[in-house]
Amino acid sequence: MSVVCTRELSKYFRHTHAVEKLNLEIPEGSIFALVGPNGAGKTTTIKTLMNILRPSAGTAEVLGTNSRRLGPAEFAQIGYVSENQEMPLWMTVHYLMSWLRPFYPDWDNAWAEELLRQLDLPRDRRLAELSRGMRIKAALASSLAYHPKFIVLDEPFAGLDSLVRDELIEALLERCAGATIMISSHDLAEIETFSSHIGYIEGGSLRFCEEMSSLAARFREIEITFDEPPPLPTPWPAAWLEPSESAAVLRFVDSQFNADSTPEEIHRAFPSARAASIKPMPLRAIFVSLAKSARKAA
Amino acid sequence: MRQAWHIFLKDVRRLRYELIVVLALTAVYAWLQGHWSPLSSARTERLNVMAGLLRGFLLPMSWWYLASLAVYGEPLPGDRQFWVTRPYCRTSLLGAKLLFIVAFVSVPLLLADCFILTLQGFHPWVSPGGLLWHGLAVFAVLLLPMIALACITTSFAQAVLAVLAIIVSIIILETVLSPFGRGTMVGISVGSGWMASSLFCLVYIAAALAVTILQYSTRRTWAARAVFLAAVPLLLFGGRFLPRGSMWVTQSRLLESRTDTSSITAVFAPGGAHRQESRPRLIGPSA
Repeated sequence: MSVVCTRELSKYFRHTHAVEKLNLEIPEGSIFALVGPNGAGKTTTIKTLMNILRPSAGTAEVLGTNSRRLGPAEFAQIGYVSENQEMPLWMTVHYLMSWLRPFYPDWDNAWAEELLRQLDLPRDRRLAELSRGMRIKAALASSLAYHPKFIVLDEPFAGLDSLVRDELIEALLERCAGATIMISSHDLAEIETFSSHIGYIEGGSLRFCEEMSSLAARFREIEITFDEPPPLPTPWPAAWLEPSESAAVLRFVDSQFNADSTPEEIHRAFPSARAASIKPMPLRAIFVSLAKSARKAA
Repeated sequence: MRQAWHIFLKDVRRLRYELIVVLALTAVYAWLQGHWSPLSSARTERLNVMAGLLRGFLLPMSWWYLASLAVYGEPLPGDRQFWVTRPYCRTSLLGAKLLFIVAFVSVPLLLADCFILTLQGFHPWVSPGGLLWHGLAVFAVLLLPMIALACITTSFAQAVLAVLAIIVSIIILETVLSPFGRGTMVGISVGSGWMASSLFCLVYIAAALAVTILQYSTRRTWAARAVFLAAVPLLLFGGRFLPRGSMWVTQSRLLESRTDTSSITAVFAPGGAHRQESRPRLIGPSA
């Protein structure tokens, strides 16, 4: 079952197409990372899913309900934390938690207390007096204390130091086993460590959406060495991104790597190759090459 | 209802200092107005001026500020609010805000009116309908538009700027149109009597109500702002299209048939204090 399912979801701001015909499915129990460069449409997508913004076209279902009809019953099962959320700054951390308690039938007092302790939140300090990282921790604690089925985190790590980031990720993974998590970020290093699914959005369009393991499996950095510079094959295969040539070495990224067929394809394209090295790529390198290719194509 | 009460208590806690100031102002107004006197002396004149200042400026401003802050506790425009992804019931939210305003503006005002009547030598329950009507009129004509304005703005400063912009627009329009003999509805409503004034108030209240309900039910800020802005020219120029002559005739006939003005008498007490001895006697159509 999908926790989120969008069909041709679009959001326009006058002449700007912030999100364009987005088809997205987030399976239950997954940790879905929505990644992309700044201004790609991540936050707009999330705000549309959360019924903060109205879609211009298409539909979105969240927890089986049309996003336009999300109401108190659905929000009692959703935990939403955003980097730019306006919190009630006059409240103390303790008052925030006790204020929210009656809104949630599944509020777990013991767990709320433990979250405050684990995240090292000062109970009697007003949110206005907390640092940005502490405020996000407070928002996170107030969003986890009722065991939400669906946790949505919009750029929660932006501007946080690495210690706080690690604490947040740790709290999230330890405390939310079984929940579906959607996290948007452009900090790919963190995402890579714990996401199970990934969606890449750029210019408002979803470029791909797949399991992390299959993404890691299909991208390889290929380096071919020659005795003398070779002629490049024409047409250049569409799946081979970012070719760069220096002296007798050719480098590119294969976006459709297959352990059985790729070496053969390389040999066919470059019969004069002396050696070829095929290396797995970290997520960051994958996205950098994707972004560069998209920019070149544009 | 429980959620509305929960939100109400939160607002009381958040605005406790502002509440103390507003309630103190209401108490001072009640005392000053209760000691209002038509007799001319340095002391009474000073008290009357202070009561007038409170009634005409300070109290309405403090109500506006308080009502706006109550609404801004859960701001409606924008897409960054903390509360929009929490399980708030919109009707409870609106109910909480109305409860807050009734509890800390309307009820204190009603008590102040009772106190003023007592100090002036009247029993408060001589005219409960009048007291309630006053409270209702203040709520509908003054507080409801304040709530509506707070619903489409994000801060009190923004609301004040909006009001100033409206006032400046009215002044400019009045200045531009008056040489051509085309008054705005503000002028027309006064000249045309209570029917036009009532119509003016009705449109004004309906617009405020529409903006408030639209915002609390759908949070469509641009649509609500459009309703608000559309109401301004309607109120300013709508009067020009009223059949003023026939309205004047109708309301004159209604007044003639219902009121016997000769029955008004005033008796002055020996001590100098005056009492209105009898009210205008309403005579039914069969009289």
